[in-house]
Amino acid sequence: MKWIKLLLTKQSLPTVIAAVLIIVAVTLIAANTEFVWKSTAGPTIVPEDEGTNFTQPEKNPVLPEESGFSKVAESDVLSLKMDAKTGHFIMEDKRNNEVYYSYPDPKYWSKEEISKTWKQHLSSPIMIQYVDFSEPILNPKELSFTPGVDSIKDLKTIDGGFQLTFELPEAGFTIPVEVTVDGDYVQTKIIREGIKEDKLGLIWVRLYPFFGATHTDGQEGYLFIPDGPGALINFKDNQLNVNKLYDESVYGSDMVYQGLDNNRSQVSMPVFGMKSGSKGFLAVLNDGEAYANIVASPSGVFSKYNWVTAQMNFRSSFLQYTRKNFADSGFVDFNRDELFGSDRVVRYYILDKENADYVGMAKRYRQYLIEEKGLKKLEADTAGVPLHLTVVGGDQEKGTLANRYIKGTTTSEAEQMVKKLHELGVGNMSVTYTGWQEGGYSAYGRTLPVDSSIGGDSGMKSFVDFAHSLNVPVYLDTEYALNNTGAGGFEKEFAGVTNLAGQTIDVRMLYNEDNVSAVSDKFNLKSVKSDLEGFKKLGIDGLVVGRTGQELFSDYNTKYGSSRDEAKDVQVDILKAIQSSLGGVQGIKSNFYSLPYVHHIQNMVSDYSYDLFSDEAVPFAQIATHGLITYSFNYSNNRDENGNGFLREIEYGAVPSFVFTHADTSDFLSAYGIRFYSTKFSDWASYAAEEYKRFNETLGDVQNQFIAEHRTLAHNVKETVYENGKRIIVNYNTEPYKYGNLEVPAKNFIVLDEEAVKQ
Amino acid sequence: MNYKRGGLWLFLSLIILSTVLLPQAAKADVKYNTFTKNSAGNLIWLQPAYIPIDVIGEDLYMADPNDPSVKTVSSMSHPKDIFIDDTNQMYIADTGNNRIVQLDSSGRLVRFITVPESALNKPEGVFVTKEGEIFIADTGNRRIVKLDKDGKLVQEITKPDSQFISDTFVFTPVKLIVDERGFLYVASQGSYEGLLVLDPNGNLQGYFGTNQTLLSAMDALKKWLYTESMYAKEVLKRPETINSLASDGSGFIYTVTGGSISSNQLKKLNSRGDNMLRSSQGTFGEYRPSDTRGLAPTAVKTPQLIDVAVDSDGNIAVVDQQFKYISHYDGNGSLLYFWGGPSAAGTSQIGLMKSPVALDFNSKNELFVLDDQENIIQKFRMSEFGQNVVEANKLTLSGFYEESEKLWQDVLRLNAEFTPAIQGLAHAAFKKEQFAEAKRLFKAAGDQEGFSESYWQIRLFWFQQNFSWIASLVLVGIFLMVALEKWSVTKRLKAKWRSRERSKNPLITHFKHAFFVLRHPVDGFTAIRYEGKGTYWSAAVIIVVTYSALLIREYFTSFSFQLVHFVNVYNVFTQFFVVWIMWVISNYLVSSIYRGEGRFRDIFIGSAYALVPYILIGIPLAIVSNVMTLSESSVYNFVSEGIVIWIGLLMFWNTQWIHNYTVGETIINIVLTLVTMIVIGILIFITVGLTSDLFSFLYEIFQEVTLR
Repeated sequence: MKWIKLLLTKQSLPTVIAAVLIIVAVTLIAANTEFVWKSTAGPTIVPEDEGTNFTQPEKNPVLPEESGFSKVAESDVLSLKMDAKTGHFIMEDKRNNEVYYSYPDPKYWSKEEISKTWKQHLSSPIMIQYVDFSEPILNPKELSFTPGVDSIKDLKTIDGGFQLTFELPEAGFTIPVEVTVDGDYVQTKIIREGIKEDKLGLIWVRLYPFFGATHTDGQEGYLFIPDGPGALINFKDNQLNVNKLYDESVYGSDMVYQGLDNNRSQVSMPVFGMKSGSKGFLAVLNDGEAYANIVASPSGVFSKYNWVTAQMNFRSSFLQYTRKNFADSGFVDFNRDELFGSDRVVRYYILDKENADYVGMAKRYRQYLIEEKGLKKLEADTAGVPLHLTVVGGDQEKGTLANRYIKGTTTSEAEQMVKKLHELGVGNMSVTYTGWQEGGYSAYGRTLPVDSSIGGDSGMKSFVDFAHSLNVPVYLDTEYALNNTGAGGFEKEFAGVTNLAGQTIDVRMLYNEDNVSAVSDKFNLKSVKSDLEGFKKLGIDGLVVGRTGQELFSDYNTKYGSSRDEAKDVQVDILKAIQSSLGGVQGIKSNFYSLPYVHHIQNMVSDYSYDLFSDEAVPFAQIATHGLITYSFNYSNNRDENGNGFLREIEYGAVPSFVFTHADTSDFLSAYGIRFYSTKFSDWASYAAEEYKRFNETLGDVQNQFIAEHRTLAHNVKETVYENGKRIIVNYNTEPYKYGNLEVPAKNFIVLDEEAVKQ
Repeated sequence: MNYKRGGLWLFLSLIILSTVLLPQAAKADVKYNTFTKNSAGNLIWLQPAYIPIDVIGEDLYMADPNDPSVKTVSSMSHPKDIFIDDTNQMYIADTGNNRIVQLDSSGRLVRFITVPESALNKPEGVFVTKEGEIFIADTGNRRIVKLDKDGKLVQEITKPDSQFISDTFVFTPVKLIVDERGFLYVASQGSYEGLLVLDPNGNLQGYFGTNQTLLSAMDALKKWLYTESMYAKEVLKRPETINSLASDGSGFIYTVTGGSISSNQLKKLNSRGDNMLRSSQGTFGEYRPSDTRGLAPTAVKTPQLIDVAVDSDGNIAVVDQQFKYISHYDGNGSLLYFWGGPSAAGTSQIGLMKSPVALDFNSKNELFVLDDQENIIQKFRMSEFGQNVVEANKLTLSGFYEESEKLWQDVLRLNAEFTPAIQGLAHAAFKKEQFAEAKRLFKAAGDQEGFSESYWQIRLFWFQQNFSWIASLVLVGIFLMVALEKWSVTKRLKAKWRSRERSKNPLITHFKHAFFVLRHPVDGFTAIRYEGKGTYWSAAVIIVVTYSALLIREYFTSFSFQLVHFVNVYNVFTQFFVVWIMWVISNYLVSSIYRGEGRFRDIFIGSAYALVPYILIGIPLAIVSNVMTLSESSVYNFVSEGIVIWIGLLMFWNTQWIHNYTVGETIINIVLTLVTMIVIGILIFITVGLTSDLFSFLYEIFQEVTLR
């Protein structure tokens, strides 16, 4: 302590003070240089109705003359006519002589009141958004094909249709497209190879955006959007002063190009559709859909036309951070040096009169899944509806000195659970064990061995053997796409998802708000393959994959990176590898590209996003997939509303699912990863058995049956009909509903089999 | 560039929000989350309590007066108030359109009320009596109008003429209600006196529900230091004005207040103006702590309650314009749940709000929320879960504890963490005299009073059971004492103890000095300085034991006296040790230039020895607290404060005798030491803040070099 005293002697005190002050000042200056506020651009929330810098047509925009169209191709059902001047086409459905225009319905053109700029967009076969990279503040603008200024080149008929190139000389874009008919669909394609740009950067292209667009004119009609299970936007005179439209990225937003979060359900199916009177179509994005947005604009937003289209993105915006520690300084930029790859193909399936509704659309999509994606009908399961049981092994919470392990269910307790349910009459079960790895649920990235606190590998093995003795398959829940433990040799600098700025992506998955690294798909593929042998030894029936098949992203990792389009294939490879080695894969809220390899989807979204412009959810996804795969919704013991949730599952043909722990729910009060309303098995066992019985009685014999019909009988009364004639009428109201001479009790349902229907 | 920056703020905060979303949360189908808070203030995820069922007011048409078949769209414009009468007719103050819109129970337009004989101007409040008389707060015209059933003007009430109203007061009625007698309670903009009570003729009868002025510590300091003329120049501190009010069937008046107040934002007033909200909860208007994170630095970070409504069971709902949550409280003011939240930029989703301004219940307990940016009303019904909760809570509040038990168990099965349910079951167990169970449940619910009362019963029972042998023991004990005294056994024992062999072990003698200090502080501390008593080692051991005593108190004190949820051993350490060591250093720095005689060693040891009372009394107190109830809390508090005072005195003597100061010098030294501590703290804070950037820069360079 002498030195302090020495320093504080009278002579040296001023020196010491001066020295301290200088050090502080130097630090201040050094730190201050870091404080310079980088001038930043505002967010690119661009009003769509903004004029362009380019030549505007002097006359009022007009739609193409119908007389200018000439026939170029036909199939058994459709005939295709094309207008050489504008590149538009007209299609005739030979079954019922209905006409479909690639531009807004000319009947209502004279009544359209929107600004000239937008009328120009409406009449155009192509809409483009571009940005000028030479400007300091990037401000994307819209542009459309202007006859007289822009031109059509290389027009030629090809087998089944025509091909042409849109040339927009002022903006410098060249975009070749192709339109063909085959069977009951017309297919439009943007040929990626031929796209050229000059000074300006192309952001997106909407090809024939107003295909089938029509005014609200008393007809029954709606736009169909792939929101949750599918949702309808009814045609109405939308006069509310909100100009909001549906604009969602197919397969969810890209975490590398994170934009505004809006709390809507992810688009898991690359489809959209429209019904107007007796006309209707379903559009399926057949290629390049990972780069598409589905845009639906009800009447009254952008023009009085109801329109829905696929927007094909070629660039995407992201926030370029200028400091690492603080996520609050940065500016908006685009991926300037690349254009997203892949041709962009949309198929418009034209629906015949009796199928021109959402059920017809779903049925056509089912046919597409079978014919094009190779899905197969389920074999009849004699044991009845499977009950999906998710068992939580464990998790962690903050402890006194370090993280504390919370034991949820040991393997022997899980054995008791299965036994108990079996005794209570649950004949068919499928178990998913989650949080089984060392450290439990929130220890992402760890795989085998099983945590010794819940029984270890040997405990798991004996549980699997026991389950198999009751014919119950066991799946282990895995999350390869996240890592916060460094397990499996993961280092985020080498194998983490990386954005254009070279930063690795962290997600806040946990309640303690720790960062969890997102893992590159190609690294996952490697990890999965090396783990499969160990899984096989446990004798399990397969894996449950979380974000693989659910979360799609571009990845600029130099070693393991993949484009968003390629990532889809890598994820499919992962699913294939698991399937071929272990036999089964289940997904969680999976996107439909994983369907051929996933035989059950857990936690499927069963409700729409409650947008003000949407009107109701429809079981599109369920009609399309019932009988091909099985699906379950939110766990029965964690539903929003027990009664209504159960009815919804009966209506939509879901299988029951529960999540259980042997421990008290309150043990998980401060858990990092898992927090459910109520999971204690002993609270729920008898309820689960009872509910299972009702499920089994109702849906036991239709597990491999397609849904043939679905309709609304009255407000909150729905009817689902299976192909074998079984009818289920669900009444959500608090009053009974009269169905012929039968009565559907309040908040309940009735089942009619084929004989009963005939009487 | 300024607005651009604002936009960026919004943009970034949205991004930040989006990364906070938690996927494995029990995510609801509806687009908002519902929460409650437990006694620790932790968020508990709940099933939705309300489910959106409809949107009203999207399609309002006005018939052309000349040609009734021609209808033009006439949406609402910035509506400010909604009132639903007993027959479920809805009245909306359509402020921007200068009219009242009347809708029937299913949301169809009945009529527009415009009062053609004396046009309305920006009316912001509306109230309809049982008889169908319509009262409108015609804000823009600074008057209240009373209309009959058919919308004919009956009466006009302007600024009342009264000696209690200053001339400068501007009568700007925004919200009003009318009681059974026909008296009006009016919330007027800027009326810090509270609600104006007007008789049916419009004469002022007085003020009602006045809020209290809140003086901050700064204000108090100013008042103390400033001269009268200086203080007069300060901005006048006035109570916040009442935003809105509501009434229920039983004569209570409910008010909500926004602005800067942080408690009693919601009040339930009886006819005398007393606040009847009896819950322990002082603040109203809930939000998640994370909600304040994305806000711009200048934004208001407290809830701004804008309207209140009461359902037919007496449960209260309030809506907050800042965080856009709707919070529900029971009739006592205990939180049931809160839900909602802002809708994301560019979307309008049902259940999420842009700018909620008013809400009301209809007779079916359906909730209607008016949004003045979307210009719509969202309609919600109570969910199955919400119904269970309200039903059970009604029974509990009216004392039917046993009847509520089954319902609460159902609720708890659906959501194992729902605090009101645990509390309800605790009451039921108490009623059934299952005190051990009640004690456990009260603890789980965080109710110290209930816990203590249950324990009181258990203790009483224990005494009753064991009275005989306790009494015998005491008797035998007294007898023995007396007997031993008589045979002078005690005297001999005492003498023996005094003349026992003393330990020569230096460490033990140093420890024993700690006890000497307690009995003879002056000699003790002087001995530390001048006789070399005590060592760094013995002081360090005492510090460690004191730290353990702190932890022991945290862990073992009875729940009746200590509401501990999570003991952060690291925080306790930093708080205790850092403060202590800073005291030692500062005291050394100060005294070495201020004629102090103590060496660093002496201060270190002395300051450690002064903490001994905490060990000697704190630990036994923690243990004894487990057999105490709140009725003995005065004893507990006396002892627990006694420790602090004793330590304070020891610290004082320590400073005085180690440095050989007079009392005056000691006081100055202590003050200077405290100032030095603050200065050191600030310096550390600034240095750390400024250099963290530098470190992160260096760290990044290091990462780059090692990894690439």
